Amino acid sequence: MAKKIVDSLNVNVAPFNFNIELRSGLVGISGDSGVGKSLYFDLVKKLSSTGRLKGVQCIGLKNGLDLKTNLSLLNELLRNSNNIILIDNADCLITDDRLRQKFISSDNQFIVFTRKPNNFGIEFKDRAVLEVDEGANTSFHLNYYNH
Amino acid sequence: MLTIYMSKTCIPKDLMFVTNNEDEFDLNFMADCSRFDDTVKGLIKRIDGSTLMPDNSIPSILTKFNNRLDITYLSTGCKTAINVHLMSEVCFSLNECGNNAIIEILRFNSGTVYLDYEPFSWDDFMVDCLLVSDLGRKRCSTFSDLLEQFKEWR
Repeated sequence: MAKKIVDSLNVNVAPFNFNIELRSGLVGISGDSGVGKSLYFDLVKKLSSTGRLKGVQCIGLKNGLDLKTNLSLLNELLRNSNNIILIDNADCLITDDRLRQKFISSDNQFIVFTRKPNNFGIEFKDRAVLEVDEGANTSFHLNYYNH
Repeated sequence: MLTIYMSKTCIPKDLMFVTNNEDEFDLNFMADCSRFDDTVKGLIKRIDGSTLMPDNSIPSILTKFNNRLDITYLSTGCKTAINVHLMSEVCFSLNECGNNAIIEILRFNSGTVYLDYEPFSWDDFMVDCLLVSDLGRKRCSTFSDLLEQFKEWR
């Protein structure tokens, strides 16, 4: 199964503070539109592409692309090991058995953005909603379903 | 009336079905938001907490974080709601929408969408929806009606 490499993936880029606790090797994140999921994903992606975050890779899947294209994008990432992989819009892959096997045998840690975590079809006990910290509008945390 | 298709097989073949709402929005409105009305401004405010700026040269928003961005930075859910509002002749998938955006869309009295999972709301409210599944069609006038029928046909 996907393995836990780090306990958190925090992002502090002014004025934003994301305090993202990771409880396991596979965490599913959902939340309302506009709450900041894409902002977090984009900031991590930028930090990673500029070398400020090592061992982190991001992939944004598209509903408009066919399954084969999405899978080939993901396969490229899954060749690596000991990486933290963020997958945005993972819902378009939830029904694919081949992907589940890839996850299970992978040696990476995953943060998956999904609308329907109940339907993911693989062990997914760590699900959380991204929320804004009380009394602030630029600080965020994960609120896990199973406290 | 808002038409909600619960499965892809229900969607008429001659109806344009869009799953990539981001690109559809950007293609239609990135350079021209002259069709944006008060409903659109309200959607942007309620879903994303942003304000559409009254500048016609480059469509932009003032976000809740107090920075000015072009409208391609709206959330996917907000873009989808605007698509549904302004392009009622197209069926839009709600699969990438957060629950708050879905609830906003369910309040529309026109438009066409595809939704295959249950929305959630603590409150009941008036809707004008035609729910279409492989098992039948039903017009609903409240959210609780809609949800009950949705659960029965799932």
